[in-house]
Amino acid sequence: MAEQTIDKELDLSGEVCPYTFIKSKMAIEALQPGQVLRVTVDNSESAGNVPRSLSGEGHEVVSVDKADKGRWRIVVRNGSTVE
Amino acid sequence: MLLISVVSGLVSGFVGGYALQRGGFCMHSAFRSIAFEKEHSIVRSWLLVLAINIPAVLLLEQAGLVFPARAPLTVFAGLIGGLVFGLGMVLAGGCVSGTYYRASKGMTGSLVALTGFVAGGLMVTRGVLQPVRGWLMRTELSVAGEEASLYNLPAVFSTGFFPGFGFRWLIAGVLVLAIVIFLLRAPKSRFTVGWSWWQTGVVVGLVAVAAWYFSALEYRDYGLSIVQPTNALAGWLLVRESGGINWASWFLLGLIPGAFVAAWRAGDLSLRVPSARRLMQNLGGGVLMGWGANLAGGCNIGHGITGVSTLSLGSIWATAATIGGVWLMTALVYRTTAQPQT
Repeated sequence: MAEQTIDKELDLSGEVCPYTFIKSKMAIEALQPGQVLRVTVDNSESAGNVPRSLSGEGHEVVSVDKADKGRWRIVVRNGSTVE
Repeated sequence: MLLISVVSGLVSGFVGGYALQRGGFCMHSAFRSIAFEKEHSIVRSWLLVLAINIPAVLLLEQAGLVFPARAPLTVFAGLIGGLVFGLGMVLAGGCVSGTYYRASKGMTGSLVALTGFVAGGLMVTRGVLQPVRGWLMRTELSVAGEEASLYNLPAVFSTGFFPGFGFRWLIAGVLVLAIVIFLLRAPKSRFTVGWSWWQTGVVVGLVAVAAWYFSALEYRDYGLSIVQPTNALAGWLLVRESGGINWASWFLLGLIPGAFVAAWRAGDLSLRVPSARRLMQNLGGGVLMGWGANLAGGCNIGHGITGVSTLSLGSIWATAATIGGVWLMTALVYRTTAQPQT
């Protein structure tokens, strides 16, 4: 499988909601449509909530992987349509 | 009798803690998402818990097994306590139950928030803020002289009419039906980490029903609560007063290892330390939660699940105020976080 190109990395270790959601939302919105963001979170609630919330905002969740003990990586593609 | 209380409390607590952890059941996130997000999984878990408990409590009441003590409608205590509690929840990074299960998996920010919560609670129940609570609790509303419950509302419109169980089932049935219709419209979720919303809702819902039943065995007319047993255990540990130790205390003692084991099995157990700034914020949030929950006479569990399931107007009022507090603080956090960093 081809490795997903990552346009921006965001490490949110040590953060819980609502910060994980706000910061990842701001980061994905700063990208161009189609660009890809990879977010690292260090708790399972954020690993569950961030993809669900971003997907609710209209972005495409590519994958959610458990990177390490207590660490998850979420890959999201900006899904906003070009105006 | 004590043995039944201890064993059933510890077992229910363990199952409850496990479910909260695996389900990521955070009522702070649920309350926030109502206004700020388009995704409502945790709200669904909460509503499912209510859809199980509203009829279950009524059934236990009709069977004469439980005599639910409905929280009184203390207007100002509920409003101010709920608001302060909601503001604190956002700063603490989670609701009271959330803070317990997160602390149990090594999140030091939540442990710090929990410490603040205990201290804030003691200030209100036994400390310097005790008179404030007494003063706020003075204004208490009733429904036509009866217990302030949604079930008694018809008495306002028709003096002297107090509905029997037939009418109560009608009210409960309409509410449950509304919830079920909302839940059936849930979108399919992808990328679920841990339990799905309905698994979490069913298990937490059943634990909440068990809480009513086992509490009634020791003549405690309430279901799940976190604030009361936190105060009771703190009182016992800190000043050797064992007065308030009951089923809920055993539940709370079971919840911590349950949450720990769930996190361990899911590979989510590790010591995590946020920034110093965030830790201070968690501490302040915890203290606000302790003040608020004890002024309001309950938290997201005691009011938000148990009280709302009895259709107590006091609990519904305090929960609404809590949601208001969460929205206010979230709006503030959005504003400050969204500012460009200079």
